[in-house]
Amino acid sequence: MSEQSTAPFIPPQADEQHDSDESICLYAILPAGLLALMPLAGIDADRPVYILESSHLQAVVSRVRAARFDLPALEAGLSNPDWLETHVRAHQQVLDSLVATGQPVLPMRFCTLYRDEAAVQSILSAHAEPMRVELDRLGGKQEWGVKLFVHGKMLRATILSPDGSSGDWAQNDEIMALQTKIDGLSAGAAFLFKKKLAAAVDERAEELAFSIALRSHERLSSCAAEAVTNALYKGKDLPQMFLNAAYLVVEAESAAFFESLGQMDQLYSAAGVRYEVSGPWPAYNFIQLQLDD
Amino acid sequence: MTTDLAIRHKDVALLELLDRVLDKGVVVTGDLTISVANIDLIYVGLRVLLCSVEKMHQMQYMTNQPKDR
Repeated sequence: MSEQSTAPFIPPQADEQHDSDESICLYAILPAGLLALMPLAGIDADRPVYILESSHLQAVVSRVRAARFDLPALEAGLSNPDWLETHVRAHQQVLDSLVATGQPVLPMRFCTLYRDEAAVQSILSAHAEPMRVELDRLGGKQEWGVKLFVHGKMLRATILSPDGSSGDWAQNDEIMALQTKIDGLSAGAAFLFKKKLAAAVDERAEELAFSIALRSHERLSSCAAEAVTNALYKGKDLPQMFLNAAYLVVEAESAAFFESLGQMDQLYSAAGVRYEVSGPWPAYNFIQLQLDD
Repeated sequence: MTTDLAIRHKDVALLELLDRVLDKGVVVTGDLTISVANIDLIYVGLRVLLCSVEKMHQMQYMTNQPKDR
């Protein structure tokens, strides 16, 4: 077992000893090697992040004061939105700094605490091979999140009065026929047909939104090593979400991925379609780790 | 925790973060003192929060990947 080490920028304090009132929080596991970490606090703001090395892997950890993160404290904290947001963001800041190094990263769940450094070292050695294999598999790849939103009003407007550049694909025969019919009628006579038209437009909008989302996912998936869809969120002040996906993209191929995204954005944006991208993330959605416990 | 959720735009980003770090981060058992996954009550509470969002809007032909690893 190799010696524990602290991050290069943070010299250990002379009187710092292992404190049984402290646990070790594990943020991520990386392949062994030189890792230049910016000085960062962990989820316990008064404790810095540092590295524990083993022969093939290194663990990114920080101490946490047990009183602040023991079971009662966590139970209270997890149900407090402010506590949760503050600490989750602190956790993610550590992960972001690791992603920025370009090394493959196995991200741990938020608030994964161990009794002491020896406990962390023992899992590094117990699971060295599967972790090393998985890190190898994830090397050179990044996770990107893509969400697709549709502004219903804009899409319906596009369907009703398409301009040459973007709208030709939006209409259908039924809608065109209804519009023509309505044009030739008085207001009273047109009333029922206008209701029919509104219903036809709503149906067409739904159909188009699904279809664009599916096509977007298929296209982006073809630019990625792996892809997954997740559940959608419904929001009050949000346009409607039709796609919530994650893509594992080979870094060398990310230009093609973003090129595709840019093309679709250009094609559909006038019709009210919006793409939102987040990342790069550690490969949260793509981890395949078979550990024998 | 209400099931009547009004998610604003900035909360979408937070939900996305929570989904990853609470639900998809790796857990390696060993001499584990605490893991979020072990705190069943609270975790279930948060899952209810996330699940009620999911159920509110599910696309028929988009499948959810299994979240358990």
